[in-house]
Amino acid sequence: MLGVVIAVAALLVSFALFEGYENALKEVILGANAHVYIFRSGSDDLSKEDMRRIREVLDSQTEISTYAPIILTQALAVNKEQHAGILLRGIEPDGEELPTAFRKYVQTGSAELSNPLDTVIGVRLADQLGVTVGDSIKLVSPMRTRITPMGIRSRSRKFRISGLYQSGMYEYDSRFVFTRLETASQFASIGNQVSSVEIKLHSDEVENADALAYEWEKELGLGFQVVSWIFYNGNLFTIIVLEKWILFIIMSLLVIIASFNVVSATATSLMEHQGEIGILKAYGMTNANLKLIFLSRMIVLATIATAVGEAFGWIMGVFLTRQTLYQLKGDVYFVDEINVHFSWQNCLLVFGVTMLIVALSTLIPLRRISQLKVVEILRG
Amino acid sequence: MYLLETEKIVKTFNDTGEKLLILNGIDFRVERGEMVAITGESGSGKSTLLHILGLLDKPDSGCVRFNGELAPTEDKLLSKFRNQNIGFVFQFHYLLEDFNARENVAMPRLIGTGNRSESLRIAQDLLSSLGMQHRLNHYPNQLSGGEQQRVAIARALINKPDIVFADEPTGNLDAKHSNEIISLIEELNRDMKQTFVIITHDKSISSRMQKSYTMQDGALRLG
Repeated sequence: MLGVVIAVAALLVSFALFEGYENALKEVILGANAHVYIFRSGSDDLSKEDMRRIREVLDSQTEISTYAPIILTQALAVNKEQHAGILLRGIEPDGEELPTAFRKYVQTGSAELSNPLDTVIGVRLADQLGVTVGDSIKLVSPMRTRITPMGIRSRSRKFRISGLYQSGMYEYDSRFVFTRLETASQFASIGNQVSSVEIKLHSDEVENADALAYEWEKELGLGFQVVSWIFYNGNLFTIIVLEKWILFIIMSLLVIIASFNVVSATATSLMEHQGEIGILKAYGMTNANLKLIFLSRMIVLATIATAVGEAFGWIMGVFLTRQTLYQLKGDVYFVDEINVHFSWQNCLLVFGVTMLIVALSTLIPLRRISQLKVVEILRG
Repeated sequence: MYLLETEKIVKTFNDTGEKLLILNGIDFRVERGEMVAITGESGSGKSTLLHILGLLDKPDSGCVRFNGELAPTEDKLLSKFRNQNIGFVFQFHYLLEDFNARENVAMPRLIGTGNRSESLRIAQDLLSSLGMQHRLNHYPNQLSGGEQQRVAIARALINKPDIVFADEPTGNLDAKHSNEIISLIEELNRDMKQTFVIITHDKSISSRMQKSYTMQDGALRLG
């Protein structure tokens, strides 16, 4: 049964790793982003008139927790000799509730953006530029480059870093720069326009985001594009779920291999107890009842082995999350921490699959019981 | 009406392509309350006959009747019939090693009724009546050869069978224990009118039975 213990532990921990990764990714993606975005079709920004229409539609939607306009523009962040391409996000930071978990992820400094030229930048970007809270960086907008008699001139502005943003998502932490909406508007020279509207849904509506986006797009009419987080990340999560189940099937093969021992153990047990089988048959015990005795014995052993294996898997999972020897590469896997997620559903699934495999493996040699003849057993 | 009656039982075995005739038209009768011995040389077919009489094996031809009725042939009915009407004692006790004496004795009743507590209570009474009250919770490996065979006899009796078949019940015992077991069988036959058919090599045992048959060349001969 040692094989079953190890196989169950491997199966459970691999499943928990994938689920942990999926959950961590979903948490960061849903935390750092809104659940639904509304854009103007094409590459235009949303005008004041568009915003009025959007408010008209959104204010009556019960599924919405909050929404707010956002300005998104690309820029270059410069500090002395260091520079990096960034995504400037102009937000309204004063609302009671924001469409994203912006405040939660500002773990160093302040998320208030109380001064117009305050900025919060990703923690990895800060590392890259060699700056921290209280330092200044210059943002250069290549989008607003002008050609003058003096040469090419770019719009640039100096910002003070008031906080560092750490979501755990490598891409966000190395690219995002947050400032107030009006500051971003001035920086991008887009007047009263905004790039899009970010919508946060009530938690029980998050998985319905795609359907809601479709419905609101119809309601808003021509000229608007409504996109959900599922549209942006659906493929990623589909692949993760697919990989998770493929891994589950592969790891289940380990249990099947381990169950070969169950087959031989049952066959040996049958050989050892032939005399007893013979006498029980002589006294009228049916083949079905005899099989049930051997099967229940193996099921009890398998239950213990599976429980031990699941406990072992849980310990391995806890160790993996606490160890510091190996971390994920954030630029490859999006998140840089190993996460595991154990749920009773998964434990039950692993338990069920293991029991099924062990039961089938036990039944194979048990077929012999029907072929055993009492007389032959008694003759030795 | 006979308790057990056979008609022209024939049994052959294939031995490397050659057909061996083991039982050649056996007619055998046992009355209720009788104690019958069957003796014969090794390989004469005594055990084969006992297996057929005990419905553990089927003859090539002929039939076995209990109380004038043909024994069932369908497996489930046959198992039930054996459980309720027939007891077995073998040369090797075949006690279940993982169960104590009381549980071993209770087993046939448990198989038949599914009532654990009643089976254990009857097993306890039966063992006590056979002088084994001090060994109820002992496991087979903690019992002497004679005690193991007493437990096997108690197991054969728990369902109050019509007949008990014993195949060399003392074959593994020394003279003292062998005598004890045969005395016990005689006592059970005398006090409970229990019918026994005993296969034995031992002439001193067969001489203590009410009837004794000898198996020779596939046929039974009285005396």
